[in-house]
Amino acid sequence: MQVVGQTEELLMIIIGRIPKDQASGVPIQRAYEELTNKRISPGALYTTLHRLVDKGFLESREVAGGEARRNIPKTVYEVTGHGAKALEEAEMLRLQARRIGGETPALGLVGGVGP
Amino acid sequence: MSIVFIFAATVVLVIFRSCVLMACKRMKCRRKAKSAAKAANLIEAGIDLLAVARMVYLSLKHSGVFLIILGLSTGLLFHLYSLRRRINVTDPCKLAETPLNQRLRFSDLVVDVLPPGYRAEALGHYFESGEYAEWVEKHGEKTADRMYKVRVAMIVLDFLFKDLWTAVKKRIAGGS
Repeated sequence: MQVVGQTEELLMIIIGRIPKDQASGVPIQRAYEELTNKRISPGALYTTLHRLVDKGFLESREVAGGEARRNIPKTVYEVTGHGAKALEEAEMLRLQARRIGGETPALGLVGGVGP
Repeated sequence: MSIVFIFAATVVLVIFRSCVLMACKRMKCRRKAKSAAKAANLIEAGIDLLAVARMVYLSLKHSGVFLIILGLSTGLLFHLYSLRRRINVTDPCKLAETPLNQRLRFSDLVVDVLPPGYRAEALGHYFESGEYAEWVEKHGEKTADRMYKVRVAMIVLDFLFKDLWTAVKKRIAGGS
C-alpha cells in the first residue's frame, strides 16, 4: 500500500470535486487555497500533481488552452480507480489510528495543556 | 570521449575567447576587429556546446551528485550563453567595454533552454491565473512583458528544484 501525504490527499479530493476537463492547475490551486487559507506555489502544486500521476493516482491529459492561456495547451487531471482506492485506504488508516489505545482522547499530550 | 577532454577543451576555448576579446578592444573598431568578433562568436558557440556536452555527460554518469553538477554546469552555461547572445559583430568594441553583469540575460535563457513541458505549464499558468493582466494594469504592457519572462523563469526553476529535491529524497530513502 502506498502512503498518501496530506497535500496529496487534499489535492485528490479537490480534483474529484471539480467537473471533468476543468481540473487544471489554476482551478486546483484556487480551490486548495480557498480550502486551506494557505498559499501553494505553482512549483509545489505541479510537482505534487506530477508525483501523483507517477504513482498512478491521477491521470493527466492535454486539452486546448483557450484564450485565457493564449492558446497554450493545459493539462487536466482526473482521479484514477487506484487513486480513489488510496483515498479510501488513507481514510481507513486514520480511523484505525484513532482507535489505538481504546477511546481515550489523549493524543500523545504529556503533562496536559496550559500552566 | 573523456570528461577530462571536454573540460580541458572548454578551458582552452575560454582562454582563447578572452584573448580574442582583448584583441577586439585594442583594435578600436577597425575592420579586423569585426573579424575577430566573428571568430569570438564561433568560439562561444563551441564553448556552449562543450558546456552542454559536459552537463549531459556528468548528469548521466554520476546521477548521485546530479544536483551539484547541474547547478555548477548550468551556472557556467548561463554565463557563456549570455555572453554569446551579447556579442555584437557590428560593434565589437562596445562588447568588450560592456560590464559582464549587463550582458547576463538569465530569464531569456531559462525560458529558452528548460524542458518544454514545464515551460508550457508555467506560461499558461501565468496568463490563466491573471498575474499577467495584473501586471499590465499596474505597470503597463512593457513591464508586464519583461516580468513575464522573469516570472516564468522563476516558476520553471521552482518546478525543477522541487522535482530534483523529490528525486534526491527518493534516492536517499531508497539507499537507506
